[in-house]
Amino acid sequence: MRILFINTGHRCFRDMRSALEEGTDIVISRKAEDSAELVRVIEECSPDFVFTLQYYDMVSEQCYRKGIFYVSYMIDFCMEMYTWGVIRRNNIIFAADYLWTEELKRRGVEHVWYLPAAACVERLDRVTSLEEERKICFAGSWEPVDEEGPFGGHSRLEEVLRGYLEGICNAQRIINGFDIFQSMLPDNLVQKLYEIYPEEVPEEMNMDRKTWYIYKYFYPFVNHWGRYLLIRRCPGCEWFVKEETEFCDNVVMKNCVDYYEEFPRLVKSSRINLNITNRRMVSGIPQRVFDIMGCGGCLLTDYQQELFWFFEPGKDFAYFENMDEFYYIMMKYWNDKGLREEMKEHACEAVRKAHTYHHRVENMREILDKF
Amino acid sequence: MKLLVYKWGNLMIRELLYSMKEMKVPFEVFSGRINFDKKEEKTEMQEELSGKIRAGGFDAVFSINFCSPVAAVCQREGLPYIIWSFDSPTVAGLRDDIFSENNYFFLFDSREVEIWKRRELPHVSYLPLAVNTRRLDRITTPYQLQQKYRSEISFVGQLYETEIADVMRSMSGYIRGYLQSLIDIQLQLYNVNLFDELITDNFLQNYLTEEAKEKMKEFARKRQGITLEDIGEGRMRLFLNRAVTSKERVMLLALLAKRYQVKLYSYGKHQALKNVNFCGTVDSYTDMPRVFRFSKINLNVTLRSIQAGIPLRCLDIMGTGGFLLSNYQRDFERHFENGRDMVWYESLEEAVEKADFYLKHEDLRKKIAHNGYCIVKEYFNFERQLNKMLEICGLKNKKTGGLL
Repeated sequence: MRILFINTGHRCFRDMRSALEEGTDIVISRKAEDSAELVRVIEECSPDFVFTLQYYDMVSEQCYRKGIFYVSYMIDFCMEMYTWGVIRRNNIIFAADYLWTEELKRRGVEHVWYLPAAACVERLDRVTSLEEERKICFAGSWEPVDEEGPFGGHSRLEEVLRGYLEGICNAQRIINGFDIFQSMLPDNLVQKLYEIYPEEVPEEMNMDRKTWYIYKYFYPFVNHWGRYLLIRRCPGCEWFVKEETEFCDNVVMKNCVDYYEEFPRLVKSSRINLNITNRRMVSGIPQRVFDIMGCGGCLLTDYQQELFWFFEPGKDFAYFENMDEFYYIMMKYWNDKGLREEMKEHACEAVRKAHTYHHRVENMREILDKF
Repeated sequence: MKLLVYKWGNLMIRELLYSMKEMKVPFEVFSGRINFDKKEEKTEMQEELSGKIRAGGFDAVFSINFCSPVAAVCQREGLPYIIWSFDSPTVAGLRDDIFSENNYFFLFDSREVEIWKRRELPHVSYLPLAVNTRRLDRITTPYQLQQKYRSEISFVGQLYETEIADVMRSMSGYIRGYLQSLIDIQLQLYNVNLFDELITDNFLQNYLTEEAKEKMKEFARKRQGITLEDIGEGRMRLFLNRAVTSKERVMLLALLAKRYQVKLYSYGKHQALKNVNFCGTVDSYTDMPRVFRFSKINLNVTLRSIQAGIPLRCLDIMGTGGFLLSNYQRDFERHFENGRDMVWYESLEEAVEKADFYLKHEDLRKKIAHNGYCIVKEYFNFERQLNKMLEICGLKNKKTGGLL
């Protein structure tokens, strides 16, 4: 089995590569500038499969033209899953959120499997912790809200409509595992929104106007406020973000850290590590969770249904269902070293046993062998 | 063993005291008015309660629903405080006085029990509400009243409509839109409550107008006889839960009344319920059981603040031998079988379909009503629930001189 693995710059590339290299004939290629370059690379390599982390429609199209299977592993949410091309028969998609797999099947994708994210424990083991203990740490973006958009400071929506739409956003912010937007955003309000913010869905996307607005405006609002409201309740929390931003006094905003070295070091040194899931991940386990547990970090996370499929609450991770609980549970773990240490050890062992990249590659191979 | 029962206004206390007498449980009743929004260190009522405890040789204080000033006294005096919830949620927010080791909570909503167990409340147990079927069995219905209460479908309960429309009108455009969307979403969601998380004191401080607050206070004063100094998150959540319940009740009654005879026993009429036969209010002690007994189908649409628990209305209906058609509540599954002991629905459309079916199948309806009655009589009586509470509190084996 020969695999052409295209490096698209995803943060998990090196981890995935090291797991794939064992027992597979892989050729690594950088991301092609255009389709002509991609075709050239494919022709030179003659692979059985082309593989990327995340789904790329351009890669899928060129593979289709060449009659080659295209394998993608969607670890994070990927807007391109809504392109028309996702239903090409040469696509083999592994998705880290079970509900994404359901959505892809519903859209007509023939070859789609559920494959949770993973951790590279060998790499994480090599990282040592800092001498000084950190308090609470969260690494993740703070999505900006478009100031000119419906939820921004210069919104053109009338008061009642804005209130109504923000009500829906807030309901989605606190409810995990259920798509409030799709089921409860009325079409007549989408039409009103369109009249004030007229935007057409890009041609290459197979989605209706409602879904387009949801991804463009609603999810950034939910992620922005969801993270803000939780983190401001953690005095002394260190938040590592890409965006340059101001925050409230008691939170320390820091520049984004290097994923391979600095992030695990921070996790190992922090008393509590937070996970606040990007709401586009409906029920799945974010990569961050595997990294924290794989590092032997103490994880406090929001509720994600799939966590309960593989891990034991209270033993591998602590979770909260709402704001009151968040503060209460955070304080409980903050004050109890024994509890933290027990959980860290248990979680690390659980990841080691069944959630490394080797496990994922093994699952992938079993499936790819059938093609 | 002797209990000091703190009595404050709610429906179940009368039945409870009646049953305690029947069971020969030694108790004394204490009542005192509390203004809940006045945050005084020590009230007159608390002083009186302390004095009573010191003088009386009581083993525990008991109340229906949690009363914060009583909890404070019990903690001070080192006496167990037994709380049996009648409303859900029993307490709003995470207050220190809830976590006293002296408090023994018995909650009828298993979802609430789960939440408090996760928060490590020292003593919290699931305990459904109860009815006194012995008393209900003794209620006779003269022929004229039988004719009066006969109906295809009946519903006894509030619509809350006037209150909500009035208060919403006095809010700003933004907040009106915001709350309306939460109400619309909550209407379609079960097993999760949006208001518990999204409606906070901080939110109210920023958005609720003085005019809206005044309206809400006025309604509390007029309808419930409660004087409020301010509108807190608990009151606002209740208001919104009522708004959702109101919408659900009106929609269901309107749908059913298009096809069947529907009688509504409530405070006020509603303009969308033209086909519904409005019958005014009914006395809950004597006439309500008659309504349940002589209606072919009795509806229950649960107040949305109760997330999984079985409302008292359901037990009242089944305890009189009435046929119950209710919205789904998770705790039903612990005790009843759908279609054998009662009937539940999970959408308004399903409710209409089931009403239609059971109106046409009298024998089946009667059989289900009988099965429901037997279960309620056996498992939802005061004696059983009191015994459970005393057992968990370690008071059961104390000398009682009665049935315990």
